[in-house]
Amino acid sequence: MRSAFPKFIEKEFKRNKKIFTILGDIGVHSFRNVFKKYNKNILNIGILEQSMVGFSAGLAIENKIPFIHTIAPFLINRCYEQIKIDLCYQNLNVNIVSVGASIDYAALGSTHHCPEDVSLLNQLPNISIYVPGNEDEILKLFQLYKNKGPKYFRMSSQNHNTKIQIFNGAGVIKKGSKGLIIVIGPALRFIEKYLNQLDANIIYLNCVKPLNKKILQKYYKKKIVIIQDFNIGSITTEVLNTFKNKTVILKEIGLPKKFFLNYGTSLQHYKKLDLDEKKIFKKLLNFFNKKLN
Amino acid sequence: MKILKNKIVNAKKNILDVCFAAQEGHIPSSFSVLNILNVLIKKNLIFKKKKYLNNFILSKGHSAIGYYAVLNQYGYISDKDLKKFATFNSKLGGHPKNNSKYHITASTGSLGHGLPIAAGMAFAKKNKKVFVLLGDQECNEGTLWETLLLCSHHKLNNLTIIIDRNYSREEALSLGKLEKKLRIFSKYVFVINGHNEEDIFKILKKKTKHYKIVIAKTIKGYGIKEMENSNEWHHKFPKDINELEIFKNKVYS
Repeated sequence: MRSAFPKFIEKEFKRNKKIFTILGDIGVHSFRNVFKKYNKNILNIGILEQSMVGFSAGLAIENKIPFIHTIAPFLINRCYEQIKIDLCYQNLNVNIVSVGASIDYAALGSTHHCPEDVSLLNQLPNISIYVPGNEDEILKLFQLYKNKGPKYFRMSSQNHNTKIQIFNGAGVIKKGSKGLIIVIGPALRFIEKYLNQLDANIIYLNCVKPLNKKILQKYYKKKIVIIQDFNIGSITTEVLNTFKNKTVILKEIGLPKKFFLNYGTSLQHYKKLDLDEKKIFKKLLNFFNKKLN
Repeated sequence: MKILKNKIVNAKKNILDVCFAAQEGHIPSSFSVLNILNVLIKKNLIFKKKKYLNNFILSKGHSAIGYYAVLNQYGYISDKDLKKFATFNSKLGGHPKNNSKYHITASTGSLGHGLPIAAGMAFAKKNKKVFVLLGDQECNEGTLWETLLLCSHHKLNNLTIIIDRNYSREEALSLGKLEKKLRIFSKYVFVINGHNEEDIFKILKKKTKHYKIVIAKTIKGYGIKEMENSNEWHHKFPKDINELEIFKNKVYS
């Protein structure tokens, strides 16, 4: 997914000279062609993330369309107030593109993890949050870059391989009887092997803000599961508010709110957290087959 | 609110009135920068033919009422709007919110946000002069020093940084020899009397090869003796009509 970003920028620069890319000293090598061809429209600004966000707001005030990029915690945790005030409060068209979703950089330790980005940004007005599941999806989502307001594109090193018709950030994977599964972005990889065996409505989301409420309401079932590979609880309130006056029995699958103190690979982490295909499938079957009191 | 000959005195009286009415606003911090704001507006540095150039950021957002009051003196903000300052349905709050109708380029209030935005604007349009006004104690914030690196590296020669040097919180964290520290970043650091409008204008108009930093020495609360350099008055308002009238009668420019 990461390689899609320079590819997109290189292609889009040709059409739109308003685009301006700012790298926080991350991904510089992968943008080498862009630096060669369009060095007036790209800048490796250095390691000063807070000023980078403010600086991008200044560009947007002058009608440029900035893309700002670095590792997720340095963009979202460190610059939360700059994102809130400079981008969201001023409602400026700035595209925030992060790399290193959740625990992608497992071995680098908790300073480089950011499983709370969706949760944090979900608290802010005006921003849109995109969680693409693979390269095709991010290339399509990037096309929204001209829309008004700040946008967050979350690049993950995890992918799914399912083709889905997506409209307004949501798509129906299948219909079923026992419940509603809401699966977000790359987390679809956890269940894509078992799609046929799951007797549930399965809705895929690659945009969590604004949430496509219509589709969720249409496929409502009493038993609802949210499957995500970021913090549990990141979008719970919005999902529950979608089903006003209806009973919901909710199960969430995702990352717990804790520091991940092992290193190794993210796959090892997910395994330790019981976030592997088989275990998740079993959990889903148990949940759907359990009788309600 | 009549426009008197002395716009500064009149603006100060209006500030007292509306801050008293709203029980909101930072009176001394606004008095501190009125002469600077007056020069920027009167001398057409941020307006041209009555049109705002969208090139000024009030990074010390708590001086918002100062900016509104001076805009009002030139007819850019109506008396009616000024009188509603910081009330429920007003568009003019205790800190500025970006709004083209009221000539506000950036939303500020949290310190340390204005300069990075101004630098981005100066970078985006090299032929446009951009002005940003900071408080001296705002220079505690790391983003100032980060962005000075950017200003030097990218030669943002169209940017003018004005620092309201009123020593308001020097005892908390001393900036020491601020001029010397800033000279490391720019050759063009000027120290002026921030209440002398001729000096302010001269320096702001001065052509320099690189970006300019103006340290404007001011007195916080300038115009009312009781408020001058008083920590107590930072976010305080006349307690009753009597006190308001006393202040209005003795205020000087």
